[in-house]
Amino acid sequence: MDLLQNLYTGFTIALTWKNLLCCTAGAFFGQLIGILPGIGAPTAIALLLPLTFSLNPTSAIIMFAGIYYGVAYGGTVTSILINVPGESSSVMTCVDGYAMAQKGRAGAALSIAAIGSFLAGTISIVLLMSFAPVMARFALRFGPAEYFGLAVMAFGLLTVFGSGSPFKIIISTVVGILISTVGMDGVSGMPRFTFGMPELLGGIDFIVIICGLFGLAEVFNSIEEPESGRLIKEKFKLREVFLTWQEWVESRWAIARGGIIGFLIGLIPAGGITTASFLAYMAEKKASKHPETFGKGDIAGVAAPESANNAASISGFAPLLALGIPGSATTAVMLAGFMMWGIRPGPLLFTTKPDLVWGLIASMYIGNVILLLINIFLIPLFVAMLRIPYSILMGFIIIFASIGAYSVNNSMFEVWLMVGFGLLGYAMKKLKFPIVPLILAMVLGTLVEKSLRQALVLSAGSFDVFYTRPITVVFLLIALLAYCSPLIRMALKKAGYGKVAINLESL
Amino acid sequence: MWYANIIAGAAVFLLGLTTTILAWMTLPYTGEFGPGPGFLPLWLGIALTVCSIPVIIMGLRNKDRTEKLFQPETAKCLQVLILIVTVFLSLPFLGFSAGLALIAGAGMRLIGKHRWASCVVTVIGTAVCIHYLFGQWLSIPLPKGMTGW
Repeated sequence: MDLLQNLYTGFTIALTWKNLLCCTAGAFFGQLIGILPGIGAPTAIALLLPLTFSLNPTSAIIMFAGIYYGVAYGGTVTSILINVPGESSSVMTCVDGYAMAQKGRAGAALSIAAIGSFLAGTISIVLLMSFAPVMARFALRFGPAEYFGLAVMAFGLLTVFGSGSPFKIIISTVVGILISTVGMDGVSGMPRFTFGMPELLGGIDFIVIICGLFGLAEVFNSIEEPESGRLIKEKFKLREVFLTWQEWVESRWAIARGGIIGFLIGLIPAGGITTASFLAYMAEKKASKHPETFGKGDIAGVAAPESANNAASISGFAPLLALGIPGSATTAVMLAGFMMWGIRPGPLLFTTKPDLVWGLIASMYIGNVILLLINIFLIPLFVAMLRIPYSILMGFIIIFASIGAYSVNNSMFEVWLMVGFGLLGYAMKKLKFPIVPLILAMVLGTLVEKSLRQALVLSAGSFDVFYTRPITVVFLLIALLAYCSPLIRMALKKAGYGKVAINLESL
Repeated sequence: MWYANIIAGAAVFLLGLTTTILAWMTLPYTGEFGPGPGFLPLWLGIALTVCSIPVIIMGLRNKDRTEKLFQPETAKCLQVLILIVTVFLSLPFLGFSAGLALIAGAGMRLIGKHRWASCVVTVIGTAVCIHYLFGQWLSIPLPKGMTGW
């Protein structure tokens, strides 16, 4: 009953004209940004932060959430029409979506992606609604040692779910934590790595880093390696987006399975939306009576990953809201947004800010409906957006990134820092260092250090606290296993179990 | 990109070593009630130094010597970087709105080879939008230059 009462309260908040407008604007811009190359969800939220300065925290967070799942919808359009994923989570959609478009069923592919995202998103919201408060109640038992273990586990899981060299993932993570130590030490008040610059005493603001690493760096990367693809269908008629009964029958279970897989993966800190869509695709291929049609335009191959990525993007809010632990770069930026408004997500958020939490959850239902309508009726408009050349978009990304960085402290120092982080992001991409671990570690760095030091202070300097508390032990064991996972995989491969290696080209 | 890994590994090694030395020399390892402000940075520095070694080894063992780090388009990135730095240095004269609008217009010309007229219209339109959207509507105190924008 409490759940329904809370949801009712949430809807009364989400349905005010201001919040409804924020949700619609967020979903619309998110969809738009998901389509445009070179701007991902974290960049979009970071760049649009200055636009929310005149809003109240609830409206701003509702708008960010709209952008977040709007991007998950939007990335699909480019995957299907030009075989270029707007977001990494849409990579799997390219496989069958583009093949469907080549067969003249682009409208149906876009439609099932939107319907699948809507249905799976709704399943995920219902599960999130029931699961997040339980998770929050469980997290009330956490002390500093548990929080330290949880953060270390999240970092460890990055080596399992992330791509590339595990050493590079660890280096990115460590650099992220190191950046978070810049500024005045929270306990002793001693300046660290400030090099005599008073501007660094307060630390490096997260927004500056995001604007540089995602905004400016993406500009450089996109100039160097422009995403190219041939638009397979330029004009759409409304009747082309409707599904046949047969197509619906073929995809309904794919949506259900994708939704559940997506929800579960989204709950894991650092689990990732991309992993969810990949696993859903593989599961669907295994479950299918005609696996040979996958890769050749099977509608279930579009429905499953699209359902999974939207479900995961929504369930990713559970660890963020209940534990204060972001699961992806986008939720990390959202966490920064929360903190900018003076809100610290965690187990107490459900009791201290119920209007925000339930308003946000209710807005997800509304956002999903809005996105379904947008995707069915405004597809021709979004297809037209694909024709905007990057040389025009680039300037606007630089403008938004610069204003975003400047508005943090109204100072040019942050703008120059943003340029520095832009160059760092460019170099990291060139040298194949992943950026997501750096972002997550940068956000969680303060929590890691604070909880580590608090735990050691409480135990009078004894490390026993990390192996005598059961929850901490579980977290740290998972982290250990995760860090050892490259070695385990190598050993399994040597023992002849290596045929499960992920190979996108073989799909 | 064998040399890229060596360069990256060496850079991380240097960063790790510098962090370790700075933490060791300038920050107390222990505090009054437990670990001090230098505790975490010291271990982070050590972790960076240790993890850089396998990256360097990967670079040395890589047999593919054909892949190139820089491409012909890298020059365009450099042009855009120079444009950004030049405009940012001239902001006290140009002002924030006009300066950023100039980046948009000049970027269109540099990267997309758009017509001069389109670029000039973009600069003017963008400057007006930035001024009113951020400066007036959102009340962000954007620095004004000698032009008043």
